[in-house]
Amino acid sequence: MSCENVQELISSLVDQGTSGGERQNALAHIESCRECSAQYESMAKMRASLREMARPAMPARLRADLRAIADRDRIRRIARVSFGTRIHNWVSVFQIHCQNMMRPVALPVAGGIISAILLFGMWIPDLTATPRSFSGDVSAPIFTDPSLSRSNPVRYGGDVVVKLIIDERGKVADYEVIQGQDSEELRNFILFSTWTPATSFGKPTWGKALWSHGEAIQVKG
Amino acid sequence: MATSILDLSSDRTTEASVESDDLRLVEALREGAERAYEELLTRFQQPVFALAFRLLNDQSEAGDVVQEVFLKVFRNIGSFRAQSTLKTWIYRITVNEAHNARRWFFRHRRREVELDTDPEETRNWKESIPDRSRSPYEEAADREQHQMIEAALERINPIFREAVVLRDITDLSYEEIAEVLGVSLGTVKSRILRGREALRDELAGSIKARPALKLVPKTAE
Repeated sequence: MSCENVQELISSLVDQGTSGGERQNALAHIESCRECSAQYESMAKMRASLREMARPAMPARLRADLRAIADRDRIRRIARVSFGTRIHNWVSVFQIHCQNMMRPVALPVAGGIISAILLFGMWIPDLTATPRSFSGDVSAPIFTDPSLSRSNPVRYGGDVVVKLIIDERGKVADYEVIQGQDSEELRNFILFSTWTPATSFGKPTWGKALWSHGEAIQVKG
Repeated sequence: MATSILDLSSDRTTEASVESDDLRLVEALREGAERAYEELLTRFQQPVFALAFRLLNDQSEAGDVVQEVFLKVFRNIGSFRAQSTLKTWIYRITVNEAHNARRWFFRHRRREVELDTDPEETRNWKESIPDRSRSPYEEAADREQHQMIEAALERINPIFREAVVLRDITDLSYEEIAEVLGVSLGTVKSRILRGREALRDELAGSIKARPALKLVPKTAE
């Protein structure tokens, strides 16, 4: 084997790429030839040096970027799988946005709600308490209308609507038949009826009442 | 003979296992499984970064290339047809991206003026992991040798550099390199041989060019 042929094979020999008789012949030549031997050795040494070269360390930032790229692609891929998954994905994205938005205000809001519940909780007994009533009390409203306290024992059978003016003593001062027939029977019925007068700031006063079919329709006094 | 048959069958079993592993991983990636993304990154992020770094000899450029590679891998995993292994497919993308980055670099950045040109400051060996069991002299010698190799690698033709890096640093077989570079086996062998020769010449040249220590006799004043 000539030096030229061997030098063409040196690279393959270093890589253990040549086999069989060709390899044996080349190695035999290298052992006998100083120049080819030096070339073989330098090539093997250089290859060893290249293999020993330290692996460059990967920056941590790049690792994080790659993870982010992978996550984005995974989300995109999952979203394409089905409509349901896409909806689910949107919901989770919305939830994340809501959480991010609400997290800074969550504690103040919770504190506010709890304080409000405690505060209103203390007021509720006062708000729901029923006022005590005494029998001799003057009625609280500013104005009250006159009302029929006792009707005539003789029943009136007519169909009539009457406007009545009740004085401060509860007596009928005047009347006007709005609908129906005025009659003696009606006048007797009015005469013997007893009324509770209208009041203004607790004091009895004049007032008007509408009376129909034997029962009064209350009007403003 | 029996041994060689056993060897062949074990090789085939390994290949089949790698193939099935790749297919399982690719299928899981297509479904958007989180573990698959993690597995892919764990398996390939460091080797891809190392390859890009050796091809470009620039950490930030290598980082950009790695991001671009994984973007392409995730985007095109659906079209991976398992005609090659996942490793060679990803390495092919890396080599192409590094090639594009180098072209872009020569077009756009060549005119930029580098402010910090001190080679001691700009060296990329800061992140190499030192072997503490060796003496400081050996470490320094190794570091110097690796620096020289790295500088020599940068000076040789990129076509040859790719082949040498894939063989001697990334440790791919000739067949895998042929797949990655998309060339014939003969071309791979030739490029590796030429690359190693060029590297050896560059190293020899740089050793000769180094200024030797000179003792200048001086009369004591």
